[in-house]
Amino acid sequence: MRLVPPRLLSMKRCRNVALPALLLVLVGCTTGDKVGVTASALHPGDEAIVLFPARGGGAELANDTRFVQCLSQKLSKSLPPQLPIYETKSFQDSLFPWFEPGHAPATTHELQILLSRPDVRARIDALHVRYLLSTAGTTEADGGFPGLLCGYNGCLGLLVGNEKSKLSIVALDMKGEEHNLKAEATGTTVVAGFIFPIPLAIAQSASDVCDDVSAQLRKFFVARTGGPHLGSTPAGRP
Amino acid sequence: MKAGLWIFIAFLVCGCEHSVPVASPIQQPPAAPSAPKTVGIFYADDLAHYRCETGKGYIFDRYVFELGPQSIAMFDTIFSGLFQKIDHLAKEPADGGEVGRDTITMHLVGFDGCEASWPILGTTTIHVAYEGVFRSKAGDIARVRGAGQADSYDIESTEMTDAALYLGGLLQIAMRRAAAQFVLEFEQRPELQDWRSGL
Repeated sequence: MRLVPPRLLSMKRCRNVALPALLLVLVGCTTGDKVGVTASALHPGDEAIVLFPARGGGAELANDTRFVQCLSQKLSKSLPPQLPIYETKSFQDSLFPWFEPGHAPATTHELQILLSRPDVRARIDALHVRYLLSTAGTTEADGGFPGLLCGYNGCLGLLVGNEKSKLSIVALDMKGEEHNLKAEATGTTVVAGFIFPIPLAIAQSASDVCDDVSAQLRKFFVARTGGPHLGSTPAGRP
Repeated sequence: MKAGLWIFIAFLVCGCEHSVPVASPIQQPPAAPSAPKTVGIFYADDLAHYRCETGKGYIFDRYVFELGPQSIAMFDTIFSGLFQKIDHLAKEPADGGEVGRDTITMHLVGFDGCEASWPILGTTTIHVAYEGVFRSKAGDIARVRGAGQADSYDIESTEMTDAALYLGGLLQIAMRRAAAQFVLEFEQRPELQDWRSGL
């Protein structure tokens, strides 16, 4: 078993506690609740959209539950009700094991091969999912100035950290077409230390990428669905 | 005063025992074709009756893992999707095959959850590995492994408040990953597909 030695402000601890906490506070669109509908909530004629993390490098941001929730929530709010967001976990359950993290298709070609399996195709069709959004992306440190010292007597100095988030999405229409989207954002975190660490600015690159990609996806779906009825509620739907 | 001190010391020394709560991480059969055959499944003792306890310090609680019931439920769900019918076998099939039937023997070949040491929350990694021995009517044998691992990065922060729930959450994720790898290997190996289709 691998144990992580307890280190003050270690990367592991930072990743597990500080970053999620910061994201939760700053992204502003995450609640911790599952986002999306399941098959039982769909109406006849619905064409659901599902997001899933692609296998391979660059899946860190796409695998981040909070980021996926952010994107799902923004899309849910901006798309018409007949294009609901299907809950990723439920989709992965129904398609087990093909869309599990670490095993989902890494390329469009792999996805097409998978969709050629009748059993897989039948399950996706039964879920009324029309659009598969394969996501890959990372958030990486991008230089900075590590000048903050903290000890038993408090903190002193200045920490400047830059980060860059990148995300790419392949939107595959089950009726055959595909569309590629990309977004990139940078951010800077500044923490001053004078007895206590005082955050002056917090990088929001993941949040910015979420905004950018959801706007691009909205345009993509508006173009496909004709747009004018966006936000309206079709007859017979609560 | 003195009695209170002894009770306090006894509390520190004894700690408490907690059963790690685990549910089968697979609720639906895999999205794979079902072979029109009946297969006998035997869950080996190393899996069916697996039980271990975390090492206990003088002041800490200990946690008990029992992997058998939920692992069996998980693989029953998987095999009931891959085959038209499954039968539980009472004894392990011998090499050379049971006359007239295909069988699978499932083993637990790796688990390190009981090596967890304090502080458990946020630092523990759990690894679990299964192996299936597929025996054909003709006596051919193929082995399929599935291993999975989970660490604190895989757990929602809301699940990090209770060590037993946390360990159970990690184990479920590791079991699901192991099952995914197991099914994918089964699906992707040609000789096993021949075995499934009865060739």
